[in-house]
Amino acid sequence: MKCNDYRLLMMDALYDEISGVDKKTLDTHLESCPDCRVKYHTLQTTTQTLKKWEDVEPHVNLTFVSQPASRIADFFRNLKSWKLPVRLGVAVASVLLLLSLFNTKIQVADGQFAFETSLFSRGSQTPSAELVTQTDLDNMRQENYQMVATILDEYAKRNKIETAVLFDKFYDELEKQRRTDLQLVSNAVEQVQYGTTQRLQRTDRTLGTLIEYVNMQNQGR
Amino acid sequence: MNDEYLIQEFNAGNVSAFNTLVWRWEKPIYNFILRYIGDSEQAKDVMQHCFIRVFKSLGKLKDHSRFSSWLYQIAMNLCRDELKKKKHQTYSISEVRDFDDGNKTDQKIVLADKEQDAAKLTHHENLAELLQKALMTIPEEQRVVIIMKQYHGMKFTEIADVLKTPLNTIKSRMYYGLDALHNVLQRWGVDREDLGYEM
Repeated sequence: MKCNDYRLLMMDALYDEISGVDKKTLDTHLESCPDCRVKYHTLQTTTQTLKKWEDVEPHVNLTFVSQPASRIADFFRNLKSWKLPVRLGVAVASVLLLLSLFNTKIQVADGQFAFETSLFSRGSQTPSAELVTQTDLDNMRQENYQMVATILDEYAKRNKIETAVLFDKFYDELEKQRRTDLQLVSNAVEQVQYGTTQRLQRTDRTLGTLIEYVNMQNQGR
Repeated sequence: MNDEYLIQEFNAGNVSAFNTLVWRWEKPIYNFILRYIGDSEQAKDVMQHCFIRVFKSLGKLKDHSRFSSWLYQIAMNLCRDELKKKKHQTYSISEVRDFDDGNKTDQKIVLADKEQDAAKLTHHENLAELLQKALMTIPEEQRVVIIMKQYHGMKFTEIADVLKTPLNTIKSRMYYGLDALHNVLQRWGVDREDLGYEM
């Protein structure tokens, strides 16, 4: 081995990572090679110098806080930790759920709620014409006529009642207005009578005064 | 609570477990970065970036027992990026000078200037600054090996793993790095008495 080959062993020896056999080999070489001995001593000195440089405190306050929880992000993060069969199961379930959502029919009519779902799209749900007999059709038509007639009757009755109520209200209003008008006319007549009476009385008094004055004039002559 | 347990807790959504990891590792990582790039303020910034990156990608670490190696890898990569940025800045200044002087400034001259500045360091300058400047004069690939070995007590095999470099190359870099440091300190006239230790 050449001197250069012992450099690696020197590094192992400096940091106590050398095996017993290698240590003996190195020691033997160092005893016989003054240059390597000096070099090894120099390296030891340098490492001791470096040891004098101690660690310092960073004086930085690093604190991490949790971000607002995102359930979707959490779900996908947890997904990574699931085993393959579980992941596949979830994937299949998700596909089925999506299919069923796309083929879901919800109906709300007359306060009744109807929900119908399936994995695949269904055709039109109208009953086949062959299954409906003429009698059924006649019955259905008759029922429809009856229903329409009932509705029209109800409508007419309701209209009549509404019209009667409306007339009653109108009559009441008219009567009220007539009474108010009569009262107003009566008041006005009373005021005219009172005014006329006052004026006549004033005229009587004026005539009386005039007659007295004329009499006094005649007596003076 | 070892690192592996804390990582598991963090992956389960416990952020305080990550903070425990930070408190445990911030001092060694800070000192690693400080010795690597040689500037305490920049070292703090790089350390923050380092832990932010760890926070973001810890979930991707498969082998939790390799956490420390992985952490040092991240810190080392960030240090390299930081030094590259510094280098670019230095070159741009040199280029401005080139235009002014009309002469090309040789990088060797710049290095020589640095060494002269360092030589002006006298005994009153503290040991840490002296060694910091000495470390910065040796090649980056040797410096990182010395830091990992000398200050973080990593085995040569671990260093080889982190740097993804053959074991003997690591030992060789260590040898040449220590030798170069010795030469620098000798050139600056730093002897054993200055360092205050007894042999």
